[in-house]
This record gives sequence, structure tokens and C-alpha cells, in this order.
Amino acid sequence: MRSIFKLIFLLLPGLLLSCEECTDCLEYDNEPYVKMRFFQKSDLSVADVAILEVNGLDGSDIIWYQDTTNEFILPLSMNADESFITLTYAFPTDSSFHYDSLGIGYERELERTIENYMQVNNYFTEILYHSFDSLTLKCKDSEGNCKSNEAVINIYF
Amino acid sequence: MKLSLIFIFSLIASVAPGQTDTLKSSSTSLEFAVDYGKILTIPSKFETKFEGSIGLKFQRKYELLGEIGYADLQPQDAILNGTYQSKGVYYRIGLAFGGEILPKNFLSFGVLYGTSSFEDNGTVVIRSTIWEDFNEYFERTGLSANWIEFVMITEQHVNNSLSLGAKFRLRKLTYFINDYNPEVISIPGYGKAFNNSIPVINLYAKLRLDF
Repeated sequence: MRSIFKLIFLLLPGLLLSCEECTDCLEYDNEPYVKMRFFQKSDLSVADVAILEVNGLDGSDIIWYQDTTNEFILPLSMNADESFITLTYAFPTDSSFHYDSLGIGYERELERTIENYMQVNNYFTEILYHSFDSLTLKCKDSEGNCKSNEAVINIYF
Repeated sequence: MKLSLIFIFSLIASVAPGQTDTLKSSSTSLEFAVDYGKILTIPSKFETKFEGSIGLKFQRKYELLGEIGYADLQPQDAILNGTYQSKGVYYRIGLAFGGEILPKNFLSFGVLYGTSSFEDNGTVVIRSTIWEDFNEYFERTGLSANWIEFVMITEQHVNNSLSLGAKFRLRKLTYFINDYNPEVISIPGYGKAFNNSIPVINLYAKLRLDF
């Protein structure tokens, strides 16, 4: 019995430290976002992309990612009805950097969750402009509300 | 179960018209009560409540009731990433009917109509990973709500002028359009704004002035 407590005692700080050190554990619980998914234009297969930099055009913080991914969660501004970003990325097979910009429009609404947190939900999500080769916006609901957290932007390279 | 039903029916039968009370049935009394359960909230930093009532009882059976209260509510779990406060004055008026079921013990039932005039405010802070954090202060004034209450009152006479009792209430919201963004969370005198019916227990001490 004592050894179990020792084990928990040893593991607990490690668990806490691992959460603190996790740079990918971003909290999107209360801020709106859209999912970006990456595909090969040629055969519509999933494309792996290394997201290097996401920069909000309003001078917001720059965030850096080193991981290769085929899905990226992009937070949206809660203080404006649109979010403009530039994305710096690279392909594993290509050593050069690529830059593209994206503008997303929406209507904001403040809502209280059943867990008693206030969160901003964005509706009527739309693409205002982009510089990617091709992309489509997929809204989950059929009623045309296009809630941002359920919307997916498919980007084709 | 059967025993409890028999007990309830005997209570109702004992307060029905035509039954003889052990006290004089012709007396009239003016009664002042204070909700001592709410006074206990004063040291709390999350809520401050005061409530008192005045009643005019005829023949120790029929009672006209008026209640007034003030509540300053700051429920800590209302907005976990912010703050919330709701404060205001409320009134209730109604009628109750009952009688003595045991020596010095009274049971009555009544209906009250309540109205609350209040205001609320709050803050919301939402952290953003790349954008500016969302900080908002909201405030609404001139809010009002109405409700109806069904109440069961049990009371014991401690001496000739003092009573202790409890009111078991079931509140039913009759008017409040909660189309605010963010929604109103607490109504002083009623409770949580998104609950259409709420059970409540109040404890009170009463001063009786018999005529």
C-alpha cells in the first residue's frame, strides 16, 4: 500500500510538469476557432505541412509551430468581426518557406456554457479573401449558421 | 407510506373550516417576522440578504401576508472566467389559510405573488492564444421579474408573543424575458433566472401582537 502512495507521489510532479511544459496544449475552450485541413490537390490525399508561423495582421502575437501536421486549429479574434492572418509553412519534401494569407469574417456572440464559463461563439463564418491555390469552407450545420468551431477550411496544395 | 398519508390528511382535516381550535378563533393579530436564515448571510462576501414580513391574521386561520427583502448576490460559480453580481429589492403579497394542528403548533398553506426590481453586472475575461484577450464589462439596470409562490408554513408559538417557523415555498416564474446577452443569471427574491420553478425553505422568527 505504501509503495502505491510512493509511486503516486513520484508520478504526480511529473504529470504536472509535463502539462506545464507542453507547448502544444493550447486552450481553445473559450475562444472561437476554425479547423484548417491540408490536402494534396492532385489526388486529394492528406498533405503534411510544417506550420512555422501564424501571424495576426493586427499586430497580434506570433506563434511558432515546428510540428508537421495535416490539421491545424486556428484561433479567431474575439474583439473584431474578422481575423486576418499570414501563415508561414513548409512541406517535409521541400526546404523552402511558403507564405499565404487568409481573411475570415463572422458574427460574434457571447454565450455561457453549461460548465458556467463564458465563451465567444462565432457564427456565419465566411472566407473574406485568401492567397492559397484553392480552399473550401465546410460548415457542419445545415441551417446556414456556420458556427466557427464546427467549420473546417480544406486547403489544397 | 400509508402512515404518512394519514398524517398529511389529518393535518389538512385539522385546519379545515369548521374545526375547533384550541385557541380563541375570534382573535386577530398583527405579526412581524424576520428571516433569520438570511441574516446569517451578512458575514458572507458572496451574498447579503435581508427579508422581513408583515401579516394580519384573522380568527387564527386567515392571513394577509406582505414580504419585502433585499438581496445582493455575487455567486462565485455564476461565471467561472469572470464575475457576476445581481442586486435589488423584491416584494411578495398573498394569502394563507391554516390553523392549529397540535397545541401551539400551526400549519397553513398560501399563495403569494412576487415581484423583483433589480440590476446586474459582471465581467468576462477570455484568454486568447494569439489575439488580444477578450475583456468585457456588462451592466443592465431596470430589470424586473414576477413570479407566483405556493407556500406551506409551519410555526410553533414559543410564548404569547414570539413564534418560530419555516416556510416551504415552490416558486414559479411567470414573467421574465431573459433575452439579454449574456443572460441574466440571478433574480433577487426568486433565484436562478433560468429555472422556471424553484423550491425554497425559509426560517423565520415572528413577533405577534394580538388584539
